[in-house]
Amino acid sequence: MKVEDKKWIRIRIYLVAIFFLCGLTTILLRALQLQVFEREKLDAIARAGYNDVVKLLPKRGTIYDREGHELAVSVEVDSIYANPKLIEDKVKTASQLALHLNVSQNSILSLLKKNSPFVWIDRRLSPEKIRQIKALGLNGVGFTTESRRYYPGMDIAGHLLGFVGDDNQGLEGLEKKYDDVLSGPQRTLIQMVDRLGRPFFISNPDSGNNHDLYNLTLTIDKDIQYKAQQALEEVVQKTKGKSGQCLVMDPVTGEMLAMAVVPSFNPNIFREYSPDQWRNRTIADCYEPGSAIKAFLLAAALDKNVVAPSTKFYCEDGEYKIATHQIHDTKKYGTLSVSDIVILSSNIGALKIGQVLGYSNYYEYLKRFGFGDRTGIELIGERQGTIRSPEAINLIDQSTIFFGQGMSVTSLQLANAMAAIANGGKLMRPYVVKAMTDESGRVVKEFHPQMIRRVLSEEISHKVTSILEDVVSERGTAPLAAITGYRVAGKTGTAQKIDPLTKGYSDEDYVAIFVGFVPVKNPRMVILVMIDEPKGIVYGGIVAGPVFREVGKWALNSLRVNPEIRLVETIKESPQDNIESPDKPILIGEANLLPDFRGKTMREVLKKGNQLGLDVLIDGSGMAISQEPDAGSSLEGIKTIKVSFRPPA
Amino acid sequence: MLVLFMGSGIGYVWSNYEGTQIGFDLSRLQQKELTLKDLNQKLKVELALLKSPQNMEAAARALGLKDPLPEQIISLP
Repeated sequence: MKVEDKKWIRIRIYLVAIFFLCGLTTILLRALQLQVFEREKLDAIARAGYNDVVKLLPKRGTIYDREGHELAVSVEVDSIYANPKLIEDKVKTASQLALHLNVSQNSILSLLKKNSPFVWIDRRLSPEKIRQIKALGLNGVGFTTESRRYYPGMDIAGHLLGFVGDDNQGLEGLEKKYDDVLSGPQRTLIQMVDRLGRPFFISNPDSGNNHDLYNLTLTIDKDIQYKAQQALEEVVQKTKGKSGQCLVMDPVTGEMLAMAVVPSFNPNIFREYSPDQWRNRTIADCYEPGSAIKAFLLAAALDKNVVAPSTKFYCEDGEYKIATHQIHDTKKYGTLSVSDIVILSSNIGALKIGQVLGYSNYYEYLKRFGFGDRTGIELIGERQGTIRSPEAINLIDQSTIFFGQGMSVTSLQLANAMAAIANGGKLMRPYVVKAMTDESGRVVKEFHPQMIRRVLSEEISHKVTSILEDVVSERGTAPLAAITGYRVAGKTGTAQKIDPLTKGYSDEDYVAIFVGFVPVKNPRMVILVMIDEPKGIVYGGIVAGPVFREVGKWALNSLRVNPEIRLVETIKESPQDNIESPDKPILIGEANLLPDFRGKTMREVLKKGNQLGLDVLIDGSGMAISQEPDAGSSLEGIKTIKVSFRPPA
Repeated sequence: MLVLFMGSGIGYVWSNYEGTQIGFDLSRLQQKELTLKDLNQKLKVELALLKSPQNMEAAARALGLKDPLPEQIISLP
């Protein structure tokens, strides 16, 4: 090979090397440009190409009752929309849609004639309807998923729960009060999609918000709430009343077990009711408590030690004049003891107790019982009622306020004050939310009973209770509130309403009230019943008392509270249980002596007692631990025995 | 060397393919999970409706059941 040829080959090699070197350099520079200088911009373009952001529907927490039953729950449902610009035959589409929807053809047609690319046709429909409409295959009609709030109990606790609006925002009741807690954050799914748009990777839902979603567990018992509403509804209808309220609360803790209002409303279809019906009247409506206030007058007078239950007052034969004002009793009472003044509900007697107590003291006690102040329950719209201070009241108004005229209270205040008498003198803060839980059910916040103040000593509260127990006796004003097997205490009230025209007290419109508690020993519930403007018989004991009995009976059963007293004659034993002759006495040794019941079951004790022809008073449940008279006593002259039971350890 | 190179190349492509397929499966299952959760919630509502005191009482009364009297109730300890 010639030298020139060799030289030429070398040049060509260099040229090729330079060519590749330049190419490689270009590639490297381009890579540097793409990977370093334009990295962020290109990355964003790429992500936008294969990342798809899906917005999930905001969830809303569930509201449960104290037993974990759902009271308010959200589910995803479909809604129908249309793009009118894509619909050619609007009349046909409207008629086909109207066949399956509760919307008239004309309404749909007017929506389809709009010059807009999006109109809602109908929202939050049942899956069945959605299936039917999808099957029509209509052009320009689309479907989208939305969240809908359901209240499975329908009108149960509707006033307490409230409701949510179209955008899932709380509008009334607990839904509004706890809107921040119940409403969840807007969550998104980031998914990678392939060229055909199929997702092949979904990243974890990312909460762009700092707060989480919580559920609420209430103190309300769904079953007691139901019974309260049902019994109230029945009486309001029967008495042709304007409205009614019933509260059930645990006097020891302040937990509300039921808050019933009639007329009720179904929050699922709240728009079909007038806004007036949405109001939770138990906290928002004030009325004069009438004679129900005498329970607190009695408590104040006993606590101040200005009277004793046996102190006597002359009740002026039913008519008494204060300045120019004539005060009446329903009957002409002569001299009555303090106990009888409360039991028989004498206004003149109450006035005389009040005069001894003095208005300033009375006012102070009413304030201590919580009247004139909000109870502090965690609900929107609570009112505080009115009591006039000693400086702002004249002599006549002072007099009438001793029997509940000239002041106003809410049902919750009245029930809470009665709870203070029931629980031994402690004023508790009523509450309806027991706990907040997260999505996995873990308790994140618990609410506990809270004592506001001590109002009475335990001793005085027991004295008051024993007098209030007689209100429910045959002699008192509320025998219809008595519950067989349980000791009940309470106070009636029948308050005249103010006539808006004359501004004086009406002779026709009354408020009938009964507020009491059961069982007297270890009270489990305070029940308040108020019927607004009953027609015909208007007395609290007659109108509201039976509702107390019905609700109390149901609630005691629901809370598994054993009867305190049971008379053996009310128990019908099955014939096969009466193997021995009913008249045959149990012989201990040679004499007819009372057997030892200790260690026996309730059924055994009742059977033996029946055989001996004795009335058996039963206290407690479980196994017999003691008896009165003692075992071995002669059966002669014994008609009733009392046996105490306790659950076995 | 060539075999090793080719083997690792095929392995890389195969694992990428498998990853994508698993991604598809995963997204399908996640969709299914959401659907089932939604169904579960709807069934809970239905159950709550059926268990509502109104329904329970109507059903009990239809069966001839009555409210127990206090003396007919014995709570077990």
